[in-house]
Amino acid sequence: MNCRDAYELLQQSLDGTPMESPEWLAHLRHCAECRAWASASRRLQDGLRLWAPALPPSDLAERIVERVLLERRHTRRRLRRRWAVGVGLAAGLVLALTGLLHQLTPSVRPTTIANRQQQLPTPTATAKRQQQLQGEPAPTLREPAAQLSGAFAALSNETAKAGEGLSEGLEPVATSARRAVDLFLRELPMETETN
Amino acid sequence: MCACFFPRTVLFWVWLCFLWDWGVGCPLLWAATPREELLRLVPDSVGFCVVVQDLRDHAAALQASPFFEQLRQTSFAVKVRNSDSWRKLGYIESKIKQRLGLDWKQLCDDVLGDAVVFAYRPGLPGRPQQEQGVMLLRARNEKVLAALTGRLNKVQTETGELKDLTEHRYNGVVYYRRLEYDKRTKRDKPPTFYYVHGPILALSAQESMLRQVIDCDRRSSGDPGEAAQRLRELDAEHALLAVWLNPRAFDAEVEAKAANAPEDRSAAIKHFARYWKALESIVLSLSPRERDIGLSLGVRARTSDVPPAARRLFREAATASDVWRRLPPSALLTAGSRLDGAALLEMFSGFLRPQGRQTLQATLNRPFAALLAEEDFTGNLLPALGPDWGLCLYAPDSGDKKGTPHLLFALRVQTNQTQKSPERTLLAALDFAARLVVFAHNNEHPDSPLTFKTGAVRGQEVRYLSGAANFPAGMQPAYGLLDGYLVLASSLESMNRFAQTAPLPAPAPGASVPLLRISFKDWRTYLTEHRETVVQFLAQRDKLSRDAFDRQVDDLLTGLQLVERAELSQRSAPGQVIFTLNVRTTQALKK
Repeated sequence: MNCRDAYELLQQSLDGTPMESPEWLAHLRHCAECRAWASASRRLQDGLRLWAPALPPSDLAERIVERVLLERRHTRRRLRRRWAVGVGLAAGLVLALTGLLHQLTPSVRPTTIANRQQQLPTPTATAKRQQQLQGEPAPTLREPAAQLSGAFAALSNETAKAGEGLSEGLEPVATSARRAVDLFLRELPMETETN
Repeated sequence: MCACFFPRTVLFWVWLCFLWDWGVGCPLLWAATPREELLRLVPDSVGFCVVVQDLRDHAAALQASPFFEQLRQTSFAVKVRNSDSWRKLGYIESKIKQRLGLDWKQLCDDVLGDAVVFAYRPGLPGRPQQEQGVMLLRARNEKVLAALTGRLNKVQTETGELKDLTEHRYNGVVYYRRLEYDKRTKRDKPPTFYYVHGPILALSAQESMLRQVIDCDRRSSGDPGEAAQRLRELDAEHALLAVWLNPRAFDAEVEAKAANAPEDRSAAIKHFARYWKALESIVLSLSPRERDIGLSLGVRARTSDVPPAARRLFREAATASDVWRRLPPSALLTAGSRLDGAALLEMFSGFLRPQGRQTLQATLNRPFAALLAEEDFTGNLLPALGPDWGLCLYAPDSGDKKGTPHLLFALRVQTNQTQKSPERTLLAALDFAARLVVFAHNNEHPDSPLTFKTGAVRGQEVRYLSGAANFPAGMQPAYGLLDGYLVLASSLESMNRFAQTAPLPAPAPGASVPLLRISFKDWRTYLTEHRETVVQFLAQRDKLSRDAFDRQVDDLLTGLQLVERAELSQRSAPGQVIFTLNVRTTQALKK
């Protein structure tokens, strides 16, 4: 065993791994430096054992509980905020869907009675239409909801792009302001002392 | 006698005019302020110019003020005094005193107290390292300044920090080059140059910049310089701290950004560049006064180059809103202005790509089409909304110990802007939403039902929800059209107040237009009078001990005792607008 291995073992011992190595003991017998390290580590461990264990402050439990409750409160607040945003979006969706359905509903235009009579489907035509409807899938809200969600996402994307563009436009000013402060601090005499 | 009197009077006036002309025109009699002395030395086309003036008097006034005494006694001030940073400052002071023979007070009074200016010119696009900067200071006592520079050179030479100090000449004027040695990196630092002229010191890391300062000094005409002119235009000439941003110094870089922008961001950057070109100057300033501190942001632009939507928006906002005459003068929070919604939307749309604009229109129209039975919200309804709007939060009466603050939002509805009747559309939508809420609530809570009711406020019909068990004390959501405003309020009482508020006289043209007001005094009163209710509510809501919230309220009250109110206002003149945040302190800032 060389000094490096001995030192490693000593380190492990200090970290709490029990060490019973005859090789290490043999190494110590003929290496004064490692013996000194081992003796110092023993003294350190003895000293630490004599040290009175630190007592927690009397109000520690109370403080922890308070902190946990505060954390929980913040979490609840975050959740509530998400809820509010979700509910808002959902309300918007519902309203928009209502609007879409309203738009999908064919509007009734003023027509003369004669025209109406002309437009009235014949029994044969109605039967045909019923057959057609039976063949088509029933309209669902999923499609318009997905469309609306897509529209919101598209707007959000466009707004983000505009925001990025604005930041990019302002970047020369922001960068120069940062460089100006750096330059000002660099130019101050005794800069090394004050730092 | 008359014949003698007349020529004498004429002679007197001629003599007076001569004196006036000589006095104004002669530079010997023209006593420039320290700030003016420095600003005329600022070279042209700088990007930023920071001015600190009258630091000595402001610091002395603040230290002797009742406000400072009040601040010193707060727990926050005690924390600061015991902090490491404070101790570090003390250490730095001792080092400066040891090396330069000056403490903070002397440094502040004799050297930095009159005026300090820092000017910065950015490098060309893609070459930021070509930037230039100069620091100018005007000392009260030129002998102290000369002694200070001499001592600094001597001390740094002795310690080996100053490796070389050489005298240079430019057009017969002497300036110095300093070469410092960095002991940490064991390398020479880039050289710095300084020039002293009487009580004025100019210091720069770029020789060419310092030479421009010398040129400006040698010219010594009556020209105050562009920086001084810009600060005066935006009312920042007397500010303790002023920062002038010169948009022209960044034109090349903004144009380069616009030219090389990727396709998806190109519209936004090009539109931004259009606004940027129209800007003439931007000034940020801080001015402590006797009872308040003002933080101002001034913007000056060539009106003809500003896009029409922005022109409309600012023109509308420049006028005082009628809503301020209807909101109570004493409230926890009041906000209001004239906002042209259509112009704002158009201005915002300018930053979007064509497909983005279409998406915005569609996204706005779809939900509103459903709610308002109006397919073109932006075209048919938006122009009728506003421009006046207001928001107010005010405390319940002091006798009402359990009451919650009242909230009110008002929006002017103009009937002549659109073909359809906008007020009917809006009321129908609100009726629908209110009935929906009542329906949903009663379905879920049959034991404590809500009722949708109709009442009257000063002869005008309003709707409100009734059901005391469902709302906090004093709350009764209500809405209606009052004197041309669509008003939504947390109680009928608020609506009554809005309708009954005696109109104040209209502000004079050109006067400051209020935008936001927070009364910390009213917050203090409210929290003191309703402390029990607030603490109980918070403790119940968060299921925490009352002690924690008691402490929080105590801390809040301590902070609120320092300030009386904060007010954000706007002052407009042709081509310029100045936004000012005034914070009024409880105690005077000057003795």
